[in-house]
Amino acid sequence: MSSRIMLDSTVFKERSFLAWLRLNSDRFSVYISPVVYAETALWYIYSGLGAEDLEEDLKALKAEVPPISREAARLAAETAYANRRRLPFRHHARDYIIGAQAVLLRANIITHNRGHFEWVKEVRVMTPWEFVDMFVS
Amino acid sequence: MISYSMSTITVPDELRRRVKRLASLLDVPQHKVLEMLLDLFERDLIEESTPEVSPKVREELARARALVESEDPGWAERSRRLEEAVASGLSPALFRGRWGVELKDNA
Repeated sequence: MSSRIMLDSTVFKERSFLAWLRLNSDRFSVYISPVVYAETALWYIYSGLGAEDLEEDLKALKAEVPPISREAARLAAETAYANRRRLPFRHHARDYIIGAQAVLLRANIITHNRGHFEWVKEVRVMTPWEFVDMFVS
Repeated sequence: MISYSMSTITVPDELRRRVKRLASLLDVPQHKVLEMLLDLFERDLIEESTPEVSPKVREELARARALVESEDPGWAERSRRLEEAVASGLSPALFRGRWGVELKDNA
């Protein structure tokens, strides 16, 4: 299994999971999409923190924020069209972008909303607990 | 039969038209449409948010958290504030963009 993982925004409320990732940061390459960065920074700000606090957390996780490439945008569009009935782009644009970035990076997606990434076949889509379970079992 | 005490909310005309149209299509009262949509929204928000976590995983996470927070008070403080926010209803899921919908609404 790939040692690359891409975190979805809902995972950021799982502070114990993030602490575990931090302790194991030498075993994984952690990525977040600029989309997740923006959503999470906004959540930090609404929560009385700031984007600089998110930066601190990302630094501790050794997380990278790769830019959205033209290739990722194209893959997002193609998969959105293929899945237009079940997951319309209008409601799932962010999922298509994040998923396309993960596929191109060969990074497994860690999320609480696996259903939003059901179209992703090239990498695994797991909850934080499933991911930790693979390493402690 | 359940009886409700009813109240009113003010919504833009366009939203009212959409609720009315759906209510007509589904043949339900307009408040029922709102209730159904809220159910859908909440289900989406809490999807898999209360999963079964094995005792082994729970223990591993608790150990990791205790270790990190004892070594990094800044991290511990951020955890405290973010978890307070979640407890007050400010979940990160609320900030998950629905671009198509939001861009249209703000256009």
